[in-house]
Amino acid sequence: MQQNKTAISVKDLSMAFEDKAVLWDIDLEIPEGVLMAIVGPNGAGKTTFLKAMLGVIKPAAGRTELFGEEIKKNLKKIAYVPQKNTIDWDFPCTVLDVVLMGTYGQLGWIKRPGAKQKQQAIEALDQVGMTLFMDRHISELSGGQQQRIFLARALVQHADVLLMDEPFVGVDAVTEREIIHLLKKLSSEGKTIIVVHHDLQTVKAYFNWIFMLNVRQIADGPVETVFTEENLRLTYGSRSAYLSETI
Amino acid sequence: MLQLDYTFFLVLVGTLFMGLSSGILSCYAVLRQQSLFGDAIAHATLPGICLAFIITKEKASWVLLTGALIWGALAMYLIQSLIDYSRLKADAAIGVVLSVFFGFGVLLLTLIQKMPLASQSGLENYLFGYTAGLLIEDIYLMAGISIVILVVVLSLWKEFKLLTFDSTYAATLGAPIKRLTQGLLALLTLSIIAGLQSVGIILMTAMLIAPGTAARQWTHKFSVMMILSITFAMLSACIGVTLSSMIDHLPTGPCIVVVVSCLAGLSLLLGTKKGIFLTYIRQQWQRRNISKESILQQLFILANTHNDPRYPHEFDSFRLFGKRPTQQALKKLRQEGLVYKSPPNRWGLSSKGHQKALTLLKKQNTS
Repeated sequence: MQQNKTAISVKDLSMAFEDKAVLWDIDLEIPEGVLMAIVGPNGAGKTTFLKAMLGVIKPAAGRTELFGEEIKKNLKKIAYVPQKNTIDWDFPCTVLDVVLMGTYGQLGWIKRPGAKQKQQAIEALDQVGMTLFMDRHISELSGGQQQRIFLARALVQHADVLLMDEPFVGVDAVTEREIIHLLKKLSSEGKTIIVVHHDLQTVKAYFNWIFMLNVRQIADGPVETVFTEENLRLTYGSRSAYLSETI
Repeated sequence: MLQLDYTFFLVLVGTLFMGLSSGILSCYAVLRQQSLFGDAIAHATLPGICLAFIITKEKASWVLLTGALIWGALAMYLIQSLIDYSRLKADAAIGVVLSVFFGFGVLLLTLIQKMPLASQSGLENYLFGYTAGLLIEDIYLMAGISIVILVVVLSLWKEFKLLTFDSTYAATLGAPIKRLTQGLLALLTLSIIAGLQSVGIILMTAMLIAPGTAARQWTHKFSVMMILSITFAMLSACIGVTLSSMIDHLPTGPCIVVVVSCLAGLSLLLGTKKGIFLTYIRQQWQRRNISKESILQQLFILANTHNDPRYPHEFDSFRLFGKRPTQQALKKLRQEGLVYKSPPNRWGLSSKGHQKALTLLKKQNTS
């Protein structure tokens, strides 16, 4: 795999809530086309890192560049899949409505999605195997199906970079397999994919790049060289005794 | 007696516009769980009304409502800042602002009543609304506010929808979340201003909760919910105004609020999508289906040990749950010809029941 170009570069990123540092001086270069896992214990700042990188929350210091430009000016090239428990699944809308929301960015102000956007949304639903559920209300979906339509909503954006927050939590095994299959395919097409991940057992099978985080930056780079017992101990602290078995 | 005179139509048109604007904002207030935010803003308008009068000595509604608007907006920013910059949670911030502002308003109202002026009475009408005093200028104001709200909401339809559904995601698409949120709150404040004369400060919150809540019970589509919410609010205005003009001394504002609350109550019970009644029926139906299916499967498994698919078993040997529900399920199954009874209390699968159990088990194994 060619990995010369940098997709995202994070510079001196720090973040604090009240008086507690949640991210400390992160410097990260993410090469284009990698399938990267962000791992770290609970409270390590993984979600915060994604949000600060995107500029959704304002970092205390530092900045993020996407393909050499300020990320705020380049949002069209990036798509975000939030944790699925962050929204109210009782909201009155259908599966298709949710996926259509992915087209809002390209539409610009005031304009409504039309036939073309609908077509794109249906194609995205097809990619995640959810076309049959198009007209369902979103409260009638299982965890795996919710995750699939969140992914479809991001796919509609046709972004070069995909950020996903814990996509495999509360998801059935079949969905997990299909999503990772799709991610690998997208990655082989040159898309950069960044996934906050919690299951250390699957890191080696799923990802080729890794960022290990616990408030401070522990290590980053190719999974083969970086995902070591030593680094796991540094990331997870004393709890790493059993973690070493996952290597 | 219903009197279809000028005043009646004036009040009707005015409250219909009030229904339009509160019907729209009610949807957002309910879905964003911000109904109490509206309550606080409504209460916070009282000191604005009083101060406007103290300063200008005028009682013209546009003067008083301007004061109300300023203080409503002030309360809105204060609550937002308290949530953003202090450790207070939203409910506490709302509670604090509501009580402090309203308390200050009541204080000013008392002061005004002791002032040596001839014209001070009437301000207390804003507490529960007073439609008999409505003038044609007031109707223009309500109509103006409602149309502004309608146009803004229609133009920023997808922006407000996404903001309400998933604001973090909206931010990643480049939407200015903070400004949109403030915009929506500004519209909420305007809709409250439009309702102060008819429904009044204290009951205004009902117009921001009831129509949206009622509408939500009948649909799973946001656009339909909006149309229903507006319809319910305007219908309540219509019925409320008619009732209060037919019966002497029945105040219009409270009448409208009672009607809209009844609509919300009925919808909560009978709504086709989320109503308690139909949800209960669906649950029962599902439960019965599950019990029926599990009995069939249980009989199938037991019969398999006898090399006779129709072999009957003692009631207690296949019962997996309570006696009564099992009896009910068996009765249904028998009516459908899926099981047969062999006295005194032994039950077996019919050949049709055997087939059905087989397909059920196959379906389970494949899924």
